[in-house]
This record gives sequence, C-alpha cells and structure tokens, in this order.
Amino acid sequence: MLRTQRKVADVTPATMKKSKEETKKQSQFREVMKRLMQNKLAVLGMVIIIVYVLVAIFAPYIIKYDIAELNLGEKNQPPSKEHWCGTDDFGRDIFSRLLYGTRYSLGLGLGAVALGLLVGIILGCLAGFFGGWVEEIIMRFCDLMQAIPGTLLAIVISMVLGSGFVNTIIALGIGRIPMNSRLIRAQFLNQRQLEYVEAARATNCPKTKLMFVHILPNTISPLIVLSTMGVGGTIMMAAGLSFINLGVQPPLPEWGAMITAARQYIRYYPYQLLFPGLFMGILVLALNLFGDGLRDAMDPKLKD
Amino acid sequence: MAQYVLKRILMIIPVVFLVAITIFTIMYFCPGDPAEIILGVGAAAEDIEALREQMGLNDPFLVQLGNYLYRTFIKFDFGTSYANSVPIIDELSHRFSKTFVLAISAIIIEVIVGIPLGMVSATHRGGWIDQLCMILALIGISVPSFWIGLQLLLIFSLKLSWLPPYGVTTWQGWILPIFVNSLRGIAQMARQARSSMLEVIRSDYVTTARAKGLPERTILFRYALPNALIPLVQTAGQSFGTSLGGTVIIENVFSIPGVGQYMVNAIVTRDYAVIRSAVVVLAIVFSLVMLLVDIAFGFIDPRIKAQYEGRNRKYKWRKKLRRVAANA
Repeated sequence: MLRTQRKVADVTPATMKKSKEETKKQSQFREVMKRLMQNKLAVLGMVIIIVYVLVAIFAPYIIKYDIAELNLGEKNQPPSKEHWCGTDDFGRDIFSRLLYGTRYSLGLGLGAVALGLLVGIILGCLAGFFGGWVEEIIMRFCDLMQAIPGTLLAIVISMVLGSGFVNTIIALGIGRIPMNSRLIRAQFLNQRQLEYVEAARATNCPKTKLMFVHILPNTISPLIVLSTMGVGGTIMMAAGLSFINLGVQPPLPEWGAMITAARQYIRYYPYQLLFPGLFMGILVLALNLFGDGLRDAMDPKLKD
Repeated sequence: MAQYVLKRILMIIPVVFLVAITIFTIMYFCPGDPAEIILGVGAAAEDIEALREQMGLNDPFLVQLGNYLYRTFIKFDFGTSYANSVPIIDELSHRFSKTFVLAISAIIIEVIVGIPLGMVSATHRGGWIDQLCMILALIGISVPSFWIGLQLLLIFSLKLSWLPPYGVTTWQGWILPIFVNSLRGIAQMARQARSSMLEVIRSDYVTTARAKGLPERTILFRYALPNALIPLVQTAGQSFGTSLGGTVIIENVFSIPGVGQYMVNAIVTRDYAVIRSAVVVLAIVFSLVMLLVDIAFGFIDPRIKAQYEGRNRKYKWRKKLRRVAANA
C-alpha cells in the first residue's frame, strides 16, 4: 500500500531525506507496477486504453474520410471494404467518425473525472484537515449533492449550462465531487493522528505543505482506483445525456450522439447503432479491467 | 430503537427542503425567459412583461423561492406546464406509478439475482463459475443500458416480434424495460456481494467456526451470510437512485409514459417548470427510500442497535443513580 510511505519526511536531515524518499517512493511504485503486470486482464485493459488514447490523439491523421463532409450519393451503405462500419444517413463514413469521436468521448470522461478530482480533493483535504465548521459545511454540501440521484443532477446542470463539450464536462464533473471529497476526508481522518503528521507539525511545517505534500499522497490510492472506474461510468453517462437531447449533440461524432442519430433507422440500418455502442463498450470494459487490476495491485489484501 | 427511527425521520425533513431549494436555485439560472417560452418568439414585449409580472418572475430571488416552497409543500401545487397549461401535479401523479414500478422492480431483481451470483462466486473463488460470473458482471457494468435496450428492442420486438416495441399496455411490454434497467445493477450487486462475502469469509470468527469443525453450510449461512448482507443493504438503496435516474433514459427507449418521458419531452420544449417538478419529486422519492434503508439498517446491523439500546440503558442507570443520590 502507498500509505506507509513518507513517514519520516521532515524530521530526517535534509541530505538523507531526499534519497530516502526517492528510493521508497520508487519501490512502492515498482511494487504496484510489478503486481499490475502479473495480472493479464489488467494488462489487456491497459493496452486497449493506450490504443484508444493514441487514436484520440492522432485521429485527424488516421481517418480516411472527412467526418463532417456530406456525401448523399453513398448514404446508409452497409459495412464494406471501403467503409468498415458502413455509412450514416448523410453518407459519412461511420468508422472515421467513431475514431474521431474517441476524442470527444474519452475527453468527456477524462475531463469530468479530472474536474471532480481537482475540486473533490481540495474540498476533502480542507474538510479532513481543518475539521470543525469547515468540515461541517463541506460535508453537508456533499450530503445535499448526494441526495439527488446523479443522472438527475447531471440533467439539471446541463439544462442550465446548455449542451456542448465543455458544459457537459462541468455537468458530469460536479456530480463526482461529493464522492471524492468524502473519500479523501475519511482518509485524512485516519492519517491525521499518525506520528508523521505530528512530527511535521513539530517542525513547524506550513499547513498547505503538510496537507498537500505530506498527507495527500498517503490518502490518494483508493481515489485513483475509483477515478479509473469513474472514467468509464462518466463516458456512459455522457452518452446517456446525448440520448435525451442534452450533452454533446450531433453532428459532433460523440458516440452517444451517434447512437441517438442512428436510433431512427434502427429497423433498416441496425449496424449504424451497433458499432458506436461496441466501441464505447470495449473502452469502458478496458477501463474497468484496468481499474480492477489497479485496485488489486495497490491493495493486495483485498484480492483473494 | 424508536429513538433511532424518530431521529432518522426528523432528519429527512430538512433534506427534502434543501433538495427542493437546491434544484430551484440551480434551475433559476436556466437561460431563457419562461414568459417568452410560453408566449412564443413573436410575442409582443408588453404581453411578455405582463406575464412575467403575473408569474412573479420580476420578484427578487428569495421571494420567488419562498413562493415556490409555499406552493410546493403547503399547497402541493407544482404550477402548470409551459407548453399546454396542464397542471404538472396531474401529469406527474398518473405517470409516477409507471416510473416507480420500473425503478422498484429493477431493484428487486438486482437483489434476487445479483446477491446469489456474488455469493456463489465468492464461495467458488477462482473456479470457472466465479470467472464466468465476474466476466459477465464486468461486461454488465461496461455497456450503456440504453444501447443494450435498443439492441434487445431490435431483436425481440422488431425482428422476432415476440414483444411489443413500445408502451406498457400489456405485461409483455414491461419485460425488456425492467430487464434493461436492472442489468447494470445486477452486475454491480454481484461484484459487491462477492467482495463483501470474501471479506467476511477471511474474518477471524469464520476461521474460529471452521476450527470448531462446524459444517461448511452452517458457516456460510449462519455465520458469514448475515454479516456479508449488511453493507449490501446500503448498495441496494444507492442503486435505487441510479435506477430512478436510469428510468429517464429507459422510458425514452421503450416509449413508456412515465415521469422520465415527461421530463425528456420537457427538455426539448425547455419547459423548466416540468423539469424542476419532476426532478424534485424523484429526488424526494429517493430520499424517502434512503430513509427506509437507514431504518432497515438500524434493525439489521446489531452495532447500531446496540448503540441505541446501550444508550438507553445508560440513561436508566443514570436516572437510578440520581434517585439514589436524591434519597441519600
């Protein structure tokens, strides 16, 4: 577990401190990686995620057809050698759009999770570190946000912000804040009374440094796992929002938007519906496999 | 225990109010003028102004909030729909039953199917049953439910014509929506149940029970199961929220005239009053279900029970002490 690291940080002499911390940190990381690499499914998940990320980055260079150009002469064609996943109702190549859509869907997932992490960690740290009325306010805020089911909250917020890529990231990210800050706070409460915190306090370590440099790294491992799995969930939720006319809208090639657009042709051109879902399913599956593997690697106790 | 139940029930009142206030406040910032939405784009400026005045839209925020709370909680009046001036409460009340049936039956199926799957996986850890269940569960949490819904609709309704493609006028119409809405929950429940069971199986009292030579069946059902179930009650409650949110999308896939469909139609016409009321009602229902879960928790979890009964005993003992002191 990452939790045991960095206990001696500020009390050891400056010269020793760095080398010691470095070796400890590295061995922790190496340990986790070693266990992760032994898990074949997790490695498979990781490889798939890397492929998707590469596709997202290099999408404009790999796609064969323009994603926006209409070509009504070739509309609604079934999968063929030229169009691997067929063409849609405007004659656009679905495979190219799917590849390009990785940018939107993965971007939505990562963006919303990052937003939730950033705000969640800050609030959680404040609540867990200071306690008292700060904690009370932040925790009641979390209670309130969690009293509204996640999908409904996302619907309400994207109603206010309107559709669009960045707005959807915000709408989905806000919903993740309470969960993250709760988790961080609970971890902080455990860490707060350990000796290394006391030692750091005794050496007059600044509060922000103590909070973010000393305590935070020891509390973050469950959050990493939660967030890895969260990316997949968020991608699906974003697709769900597109489906009910919120979130990212056609003609952008977000997968959910593509499913929504293909829905009206379900009877005649079912392949238009099939591929976006498969694309999304494989990515989310990979994220979940990786997340499971990461959890087992970080906390081997939980595994067997 | 009465004290615990009462405390929980009292705690729900501020939650319900705050949820309504939060949703009202967020929706207050919705772009667009309701009066303009009602009258249409071409309406005269003075008509719009008159309607704004009549609807109280020119009042300060706090006055609007106060009016809203008063109408909602005292008079049970959610206002009228912008689109057709039908009272929202009427629409909601005859649509609500469908949404509730959809959400609650999904939870029941989750519990009935998911928990045994997880338990079997845990007791056969590493075997092919375990691996099969866990791979299925992983797939279950990885595909978007509305996509699965559309695929099943295509296969069973449009291609095979076994089930009606839309509506819930017959009981066959319910099969697909309920199944699809529970799919993700089943998978999640199975995973939770497995890890919860594994944790219990590793604990010391199970080892002790084994050391005593108790039969494996007794250990599983009498010792391990009750303890493994405790955290799952919480999971079930939480997934009711997910399921309730999921109905919004599922109802849209299968054209079920529930609250969710009402909401999605309102999203298209930017009918804020409808969305606000629907979200508030669903959130309140969610809070009430969580209240039931909390109360159930008190009865199931001996630790909470002991806390409250223990406290009473302490008070009785104190009273007795005081009486003795007074007599002396």
